[in-house]
Amino acid sequence: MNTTLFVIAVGILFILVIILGLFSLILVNQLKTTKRRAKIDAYIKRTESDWYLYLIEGEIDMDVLAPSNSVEIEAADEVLYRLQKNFNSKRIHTQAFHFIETYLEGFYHNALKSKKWSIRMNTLQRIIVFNLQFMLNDIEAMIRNNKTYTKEEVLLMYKIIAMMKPTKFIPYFLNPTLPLGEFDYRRLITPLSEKQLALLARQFDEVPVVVKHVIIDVIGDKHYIGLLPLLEYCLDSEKNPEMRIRALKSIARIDAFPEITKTERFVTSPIWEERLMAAKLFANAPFEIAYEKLKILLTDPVYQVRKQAAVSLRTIRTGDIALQNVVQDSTDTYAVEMANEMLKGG
Amino acid sequence: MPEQYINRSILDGELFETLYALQLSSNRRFHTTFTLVFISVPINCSDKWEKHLQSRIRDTDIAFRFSAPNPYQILLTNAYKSEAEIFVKRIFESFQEKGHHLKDVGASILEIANGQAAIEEVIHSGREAVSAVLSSGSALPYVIVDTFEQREKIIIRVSILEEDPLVTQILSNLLERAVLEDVEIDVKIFYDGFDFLESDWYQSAHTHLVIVNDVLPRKNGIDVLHALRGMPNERKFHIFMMTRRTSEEEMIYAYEHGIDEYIVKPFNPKLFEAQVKKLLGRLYS
Repeated sequence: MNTTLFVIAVGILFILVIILGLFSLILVNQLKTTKRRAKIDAYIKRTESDWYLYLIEGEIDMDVLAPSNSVEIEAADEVLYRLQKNFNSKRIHTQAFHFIETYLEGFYHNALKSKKWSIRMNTLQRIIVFNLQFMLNDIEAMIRNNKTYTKEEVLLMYKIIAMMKPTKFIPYFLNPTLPLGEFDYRRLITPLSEKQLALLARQFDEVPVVVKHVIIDVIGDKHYIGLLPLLEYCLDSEKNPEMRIRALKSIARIDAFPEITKTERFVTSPIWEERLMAAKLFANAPFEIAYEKLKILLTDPVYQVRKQAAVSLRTIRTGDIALQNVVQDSTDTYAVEMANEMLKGG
Repeated sequence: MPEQYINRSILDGELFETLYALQLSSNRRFHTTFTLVFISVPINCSDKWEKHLQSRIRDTDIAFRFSAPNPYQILLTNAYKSEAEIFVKRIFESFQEKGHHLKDVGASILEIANGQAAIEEVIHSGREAVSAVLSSGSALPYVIVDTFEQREKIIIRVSILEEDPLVTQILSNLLERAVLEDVEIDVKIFYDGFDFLESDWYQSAHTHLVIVNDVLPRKNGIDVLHALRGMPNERKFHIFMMTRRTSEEEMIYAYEHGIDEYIVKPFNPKLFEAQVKKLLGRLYS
């Protein structure tokens, strides 16, 4: 009995020592972090005016701000990042780049190899923001090696590749080291220029369906009218109604209107979403065509389609008169009801 | 005779102080300039001079009659000294054309741009200058006094509402470079909208430039905008809003609710400086 109690007491004491030790470690680390933070803040406060004179006015040399220890390096990195979030000009970008190239290159090389995810992520953000070409090899090495990176890191790496290798990014996008969904591809493809998107569009038939969908959406979002032929091509897709619907939506967003032969069949499509998109699209059509087709869509059994048809009718030239004609002449109750609702400002 | 020279009344000198005060107040508020002309004439010619002046002053001028030694003071509203000089020359030349001489006649011209010019000092300077002209026996019977030409510095209050102290420092530096010669700025920094609205800093009569970030820890930029535009003297506020939002709807909303400039971050600091200079130039050129 006494032995048991003794063992238990020792065990409890041991656990308490471990807990105390851990607590002390956390406390010491916290104090170190706080002290370091205070030094960084003090450096920033002390050098505020110099950073202004260097980055914005170009009135002093960067030697004045040369960091002399790791705290100042970290502080300089923070200053540059905070300032570029708020201010942007050719001079700021050039000055910042020169400073980074001279004093922070080593810091970023090491930071990218850090075990801490947050440090790697911050560094990837800096590479993008300051367009640090000298980090490209590091990024490619990271993609090639077998280390496991998070999806957020992978996406940033691919974004950097697209930025720094504007014509050679496609293999990376199409052969990712992690599975990527629509939302991920949206993040990658949205920042691409029209030229880059056109490059990707050339391989449209080979890319995965999810990438196809994103390409179609981005063309509409960014009004890349030069890529309208691709959208028209998608209208003929027989196997993929989702693609057709997205293409119709993007064409409507660009305020374009393709050949009537490509679009009129959607007025009577068995898929209500296609009829809805058609109702949107016909707002861009020449008046006679728009009036004829939208009148049909005003009688659609689906409320959203009728509503969209009425909205589109309202936007065209003499649309109000067209709606009034519907009220007077139409025998379809739904059409009359919707036209009245639209005329009353609904 | 042109309409503007039809006989005008000469007011009694007792009214001068009141009208001077009104003119000076307008000067301070609208940063305008006016000119005073002091004229001394011999007592035995005062009737001739009175009639002559009545026929020569314009409808924008106000003339006052005092006792000797400087019986006449004329207030030229919204006029500079150059215009006053032409006016004085014309008066003297036309008097001579009537066959009279300018013996013992003298004048001084004082351009008043300084909104703090005290009436006693102005009168003393004007009359002293006339005495000096008369005693010098100069061929030119008038002198220009430049003591009150320098406009006093206009003070504008500037509030910067932004969470990041590094950004506020940069903005302060930019503002210092953006000011005009006659304008002094008084900058105060706030790190949230609540502290700003709780202060009395923005409640003075000064023209006030507010540079506010839309996102702030307590009481955001839009709240501050509504509060300032809801004040009775809201016209003194010129509001620049900094934001990352770029949608047309948000911009339209901000302009419709009283923003003067919509600044999308990240922005070019030199462009910002030019926008501030443009505003100040528009207000005080």
